[in-house]
Amino acid sequence: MSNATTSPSLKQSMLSLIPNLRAFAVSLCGDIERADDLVQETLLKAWNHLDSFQEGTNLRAWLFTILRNTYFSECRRRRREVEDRDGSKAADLSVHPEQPGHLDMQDFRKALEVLPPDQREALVLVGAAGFSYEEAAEISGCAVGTIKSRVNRARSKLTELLSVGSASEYGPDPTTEAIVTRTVGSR
Amino acid sequence: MPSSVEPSREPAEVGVEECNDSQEGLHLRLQPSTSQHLRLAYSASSSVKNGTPTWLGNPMPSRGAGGLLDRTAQARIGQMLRHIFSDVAEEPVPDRFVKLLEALQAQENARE
Repeated sequence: MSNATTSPSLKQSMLSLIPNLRAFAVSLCGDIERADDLVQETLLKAWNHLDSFQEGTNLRAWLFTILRNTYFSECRRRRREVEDRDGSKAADLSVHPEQPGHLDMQDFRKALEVLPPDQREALVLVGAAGFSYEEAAEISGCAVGTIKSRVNRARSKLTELLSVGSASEYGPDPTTEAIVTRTVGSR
Repeated sequence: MPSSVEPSREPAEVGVEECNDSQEGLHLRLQPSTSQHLRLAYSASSSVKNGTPTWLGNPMPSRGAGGLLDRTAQARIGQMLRHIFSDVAEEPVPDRFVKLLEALQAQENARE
């Protein structure tokens, strides 16, 4: 059978792609523990279906595809289970940050989580993982135009979430900084 | 500056010199190779300096500027995305995955 002896180099490549898979998973789900579970599931599925991978094609894209499919079917399952999920996330956004050093990255992470998952995926694939629109489309199983529009919508949504309103909302002291940050929640 | 995170795209105007007094609040998962980036991100977050409002570290572009706001925002979003991604991508492979692959390999060997 073709998968009885999978090539050692392929396994080596799989191992070397794990950091990338974890980064993708964290960007998608925003949680390192859940991300690691996704990676584990991805590795197991990939291992069991190595015979369906065509050597010479893009292993990274193949693994990313398995991971995102795993993530999205999990999302669908969770959506059925927990209807309030989006509501609770939106509430999180207006939480007053207590660690001033956190503000920027924390807010960005939260804003990222608020995006619809398909938009977040497109943005991460193109904007962080360095895939082309074409590759991202293949990974996500949709048209190139769809990826482009998802990326655009994600970008404008993030800009909207992260930009502060008018300059008059500012004050001179650090306390105001925290208030300004809260506008991320109120948009 | 680590070379793996597209350092050329780090804007020169983000004040690295403002970081020294401000690392205490930094609780993000730091690695030596990425701490510089996070410090950049941190300094970007100390947003009200000298009474000048900033947006993600840059002087607040006027809303009326349209294109400028957009470009600044897009550049910042790109940076933040890459921070989040490379933070994790630069970590070593956790043991559990090394062991998992070893176990799968052993299983396969046993079948042969």
